[in-house]
Amino acid sequence: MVWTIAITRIKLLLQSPWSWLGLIVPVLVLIFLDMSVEKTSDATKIPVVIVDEDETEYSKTVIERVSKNPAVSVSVHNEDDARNQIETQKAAIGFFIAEGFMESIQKNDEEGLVTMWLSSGSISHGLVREIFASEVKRLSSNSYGANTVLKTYGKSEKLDADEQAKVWKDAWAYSDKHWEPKPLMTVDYKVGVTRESSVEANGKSVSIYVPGMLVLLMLFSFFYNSWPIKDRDSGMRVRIPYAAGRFSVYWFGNALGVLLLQLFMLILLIGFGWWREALTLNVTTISGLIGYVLFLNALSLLFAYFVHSNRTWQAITLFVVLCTSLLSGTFFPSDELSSFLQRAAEWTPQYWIVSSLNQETLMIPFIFVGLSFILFVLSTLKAGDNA
Amino acid sequence: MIAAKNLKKKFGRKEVLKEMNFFIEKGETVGVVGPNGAGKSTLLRILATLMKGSGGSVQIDGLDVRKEQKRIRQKIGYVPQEIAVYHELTTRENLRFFSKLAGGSSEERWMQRCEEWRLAEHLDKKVKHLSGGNQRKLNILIAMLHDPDLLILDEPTVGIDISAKQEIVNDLRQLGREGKTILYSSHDAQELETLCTSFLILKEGELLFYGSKQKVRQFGSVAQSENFAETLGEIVG
Repeated sequence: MVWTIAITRIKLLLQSPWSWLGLIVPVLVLIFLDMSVEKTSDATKIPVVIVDEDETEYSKTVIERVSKNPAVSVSVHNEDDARNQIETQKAAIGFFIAEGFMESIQKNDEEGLVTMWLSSGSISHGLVREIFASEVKRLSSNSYGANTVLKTYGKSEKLDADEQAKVWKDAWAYSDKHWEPKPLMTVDYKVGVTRESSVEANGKSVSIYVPGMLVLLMLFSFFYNSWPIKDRDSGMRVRIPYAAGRFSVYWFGNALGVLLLQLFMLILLIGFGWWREALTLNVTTISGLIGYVLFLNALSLLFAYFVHSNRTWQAITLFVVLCTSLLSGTFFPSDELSSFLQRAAEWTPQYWIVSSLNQETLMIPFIFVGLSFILFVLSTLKAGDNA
Repeated sequence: MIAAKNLKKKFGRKEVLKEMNFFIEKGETVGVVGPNGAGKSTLLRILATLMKGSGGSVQIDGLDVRKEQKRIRQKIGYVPQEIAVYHELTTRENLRFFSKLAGGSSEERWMQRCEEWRLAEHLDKKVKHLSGGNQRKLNILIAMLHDPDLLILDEPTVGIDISAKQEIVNDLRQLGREGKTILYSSHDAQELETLCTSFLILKEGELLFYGSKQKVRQFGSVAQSENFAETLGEIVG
């Protein structure tokens, strides 16, 4: 009987083609907005051109590492094109990596390794020069370290050519490892989805996909769970005890129908999030989001029990979605707010799901599921046969 | 079938039903009459187990409405004032859904009833596209899917035209002939006269009168009046 009720609820919610559009379009709008934000972010990067005459493993490594820096937008050209880009101010700075770059580095010869060209209007060359120089220095230091190790170690141990190459390579890799960016102190942002972890935004433009997704899931939960109010208006609530026996069965069946639809939406959102590389798929992310959806369903259902008119419901939906989204630090870190508002943020479900995604813990999803169970039991008991 | 003893209902300090006593025989079609605020809907809701009385007792088929709600509900079909069906679904989908909830009432049975009630040709239409009369018929049919002995109808013909009302009244009379006990609340005296065999007349929470149609005529000062509506109007004041 529960399934019959659940399927009928889904049918009712997806009666017209418009309701299907209502399900898909917000997801597409979110993706579009996310892409637009990324494009805008690209436009604010410093354009850099690089000419690679060396075309060795080292020059390619430098280009790759510089390209990963979120402050610059790198393009590789031949010398003429690069000069043209600088002269026409399409690029702010150019770097010319001459032939023999790798060889010079391996010999620890750092003189005239790279030539820098500046566009006349460039004001950011200091920053870019530092970025580029640090990557070249990194390779140079690695080589210096490896050469020193081999010189010292090679004297005491008689190594053949293969063994020497291996020692040099190991020393180089060991030195390189120390260049991985590890700050001297750890700044732990409790809130905010732009941190690394399952929400991949580190080194990229700030993504609005995850915050948008959390808002959408909440909005749809409240939107779909308006059925108890409509049922009360239409007299269905007094009819059901005679038809279904227990009102709680009807209550649970409808909640299940809405939950299935929400899960469908979640799959869509996770799928697109994965495609947009805004989300990493792992057990904690998926279980966190399922817990979040379950909790939203239970919460909105309990609210709907107490509300008696559609207008009030719309106002509550808007209020809850807006307030919790702004407060929770989903769109900006809540530590920019006053301490009172920071404490208030901890009462929002978004705060906890973001924490769960950041910390990659299963504890928060478990708490979500536990709370959902309590809320479901409460609303079912309250609704019960009290039609 | 229904025995009410000293039945009372209070909302806060306001007494909406005052010490009511009546006994309704099985197979009777009883009109529940009274002006707005007389307590008709409250009485029907208590009998339908949707609300509890504040004092006294009610028994339906020997079962106490306070203690044996579940068993009583199996014997009752309740038709609310609102058209409590899914308007976005078809007539067939509604009937199928509610018959599944009612424990799988056979499709043959409700199909037959649809034919008798001239709804068969509208089975595949969405309810929102049905006429008001047909929507009201479906509202009643759904309450009968679990084949109840007692049908409680709270103003089931509100807002529909005279011919549709007439059709519904005729269909309900047929149910009465089949032995169903019917409690019918309405403001339409003509409809009540055609359908009901006896009347419960309420005013300001008090039971003014309970008796047969003939006794209603004798009760008013317009004794033996040909105009039943006039008599009812006079009693109700």
